[in-house]
Amino acid sequence: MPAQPITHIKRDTSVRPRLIVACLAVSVLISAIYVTVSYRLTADVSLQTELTAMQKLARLLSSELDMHEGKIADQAGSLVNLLSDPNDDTPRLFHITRETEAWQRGHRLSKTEQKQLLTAISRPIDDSHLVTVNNRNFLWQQHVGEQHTVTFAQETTALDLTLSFVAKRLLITSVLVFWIAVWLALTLSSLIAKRAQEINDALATIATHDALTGLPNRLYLMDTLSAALPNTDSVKAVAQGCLFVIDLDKFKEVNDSFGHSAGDTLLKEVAARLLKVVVSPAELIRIGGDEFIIWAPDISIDGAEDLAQDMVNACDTPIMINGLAVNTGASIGIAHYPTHAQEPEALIVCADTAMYKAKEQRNGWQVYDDRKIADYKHNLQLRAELSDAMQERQIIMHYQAKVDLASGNIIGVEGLCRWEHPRLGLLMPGQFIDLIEDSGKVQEFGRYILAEAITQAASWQQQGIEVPIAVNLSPYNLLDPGLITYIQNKLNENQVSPHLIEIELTENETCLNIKYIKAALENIKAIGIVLAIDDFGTGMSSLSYLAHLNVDVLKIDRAFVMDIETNTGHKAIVASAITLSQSFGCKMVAEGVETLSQARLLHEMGCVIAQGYLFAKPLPEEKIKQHILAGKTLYPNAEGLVPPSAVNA
Amino acid sequence: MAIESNLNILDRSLRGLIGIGVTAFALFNGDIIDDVFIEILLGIFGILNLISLASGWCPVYHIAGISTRKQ
Repeated sequence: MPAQPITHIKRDTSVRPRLIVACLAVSVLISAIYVTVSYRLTADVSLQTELTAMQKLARLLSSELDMHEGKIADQAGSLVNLLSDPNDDTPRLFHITRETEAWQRGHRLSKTEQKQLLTAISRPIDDSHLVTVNNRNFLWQQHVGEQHTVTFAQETTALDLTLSFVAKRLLITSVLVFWIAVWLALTLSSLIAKRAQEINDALATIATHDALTGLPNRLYLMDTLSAALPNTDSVKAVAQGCLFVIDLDKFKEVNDSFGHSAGDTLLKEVAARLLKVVVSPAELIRIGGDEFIIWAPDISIDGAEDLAQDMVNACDTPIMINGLAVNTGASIGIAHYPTHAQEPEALIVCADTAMYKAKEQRNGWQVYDDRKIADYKHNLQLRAELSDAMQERQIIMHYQAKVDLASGNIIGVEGLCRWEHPRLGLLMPGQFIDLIEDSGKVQEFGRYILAEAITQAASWQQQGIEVPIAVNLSPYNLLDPGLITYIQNKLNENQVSPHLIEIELTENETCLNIKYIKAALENIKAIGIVLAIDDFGTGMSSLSYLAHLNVDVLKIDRAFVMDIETNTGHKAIVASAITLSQSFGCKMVAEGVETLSQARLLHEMGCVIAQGYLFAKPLPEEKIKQHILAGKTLYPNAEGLVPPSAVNA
Repeated sequence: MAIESNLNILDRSLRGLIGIGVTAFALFNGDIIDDVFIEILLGIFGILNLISLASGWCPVYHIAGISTRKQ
């Protein structure tokens, strides 16, 4: 997928001009330094040469004068004329002294200037032999001979000469250096800017795309939506559009059962399939986990529904994972802009809510509906409160008696959870079990109710009640690797005999690796806990379960019991289940017994244990305990209590 | 490394003018410069610009990956 522009990673356009300016500044600086150094070097050399020449002249003059007797004035004039170039117009001054005698001659210098010059020379500021008089530079040399002291001063033109001499060369070379610097600046800045841009593009791609599927991510979505949605004059603004939130129904199960690499394969395959359905300008985005979002600009709700159906169909085809065909299924929520929301975040929330509704109803896709929103909000709040509920032990157990049809005695109880909600009162499992499954707290919850049951059993055991307590677990609980140890520890902690705990396994979950469950079930049985299959007959693989899993109890589903007297088919199924349980050597419990005649019929057919409203509703612990302690017979028609004639009446 | 034109007409003409001017100055400056080394440097500078005029291609642009020619 090509890199997409994103406003979050701004392109830094200032790098290039800055680099060029920096290179040019450096080149100007270097040119200035080298021009200055060259100029000073040349000037120093010239001055030194001139001073040497003057020194020689002064010494020569002094030596010549020393060789002659008589007044200085007699000799000096002709000697000076001889030694200095008559055509040289340079202003200069000769000053010669001997004991009390002095002589001086100035050339193109006034008397005042000569005096000022001599004063300056007599008080030199430094040892450079350079003095300034009336803004003119003079070089001077003094030679002290045996008898004469010769002072020779001359205006210097070396500095000006040097300047004119080197100026042209320095100028031309500076231009060339500058030219090279410009090219260097251009090349460097281009290379660096180009590299920086490449890195920025790569970062933008990484930041806005998902590594697994290569699809754009949430950052990209928010960027696209904020460009498309607000009522600004943005070029990308659209008149309408639909946002789809897609969630895979069985992703978590695949991840749990087959491992994360299988989950990744599934995601990639789903992404590939969705990409085939989604046509530009609609875009597929992966938000995280198994959630995808499609933003389809310029599409009406009708168009969106067609697209959603296509996507549901695409996800409904099984995907091969580890040699098994997995049908993942997808739930899609649709929100329309501007009908449902005008802001990006609100639009996502609407589509998300619709998606949860679709998941709940298992109908593939759902368009956001304002009127149904209250329900979802309620559910969302409950879901948020779940963690607290478990921590604060708001979820409690009620117990429904299992009755021996022969004696009418309570021979066991099934623990059923209730949520004592601080605001909403007592909630039935139907109102929150799905939330637990959706929010990934299944295993935590499984441990919670097991702990509750074991604690209860311990408490009863101390009071002399030895009635097994059954709890319902989903096969997903058995994927909890630490479950067996947890149960064992709890049993030991509370000193509860394992046979007082029964696990009823709901068998309507199908997308599970039977190998794992079998191993877990065997371990549970090894502890000594009784295993039951709940809702027997409604699951997908009842018989294979029976063959594979060595269970102790079969609980036939209430669906077969409720119309057993009128539906001969159901009656036949119950009869077969009874035979089956006898063949497997396990007990058989009939659920949902509501009338005396049902109980009587079941008993006649050979069923020994029953459970249902006829005998007792699920009761709080205190009440069921009273029943048990009182040894109350819950089945008045039990043998021995009621004469056969009364039964038949 | 294929040579592809990377200069637009303005860039090319400017380089042409500079090239002709600088080369001519290097060759026929009389006593102004008075230094062979600098004359050679100027000559190279001028000739490089003349090459750009002739081919419409600048090696520095090529290395830097930039172009003033409209694509």
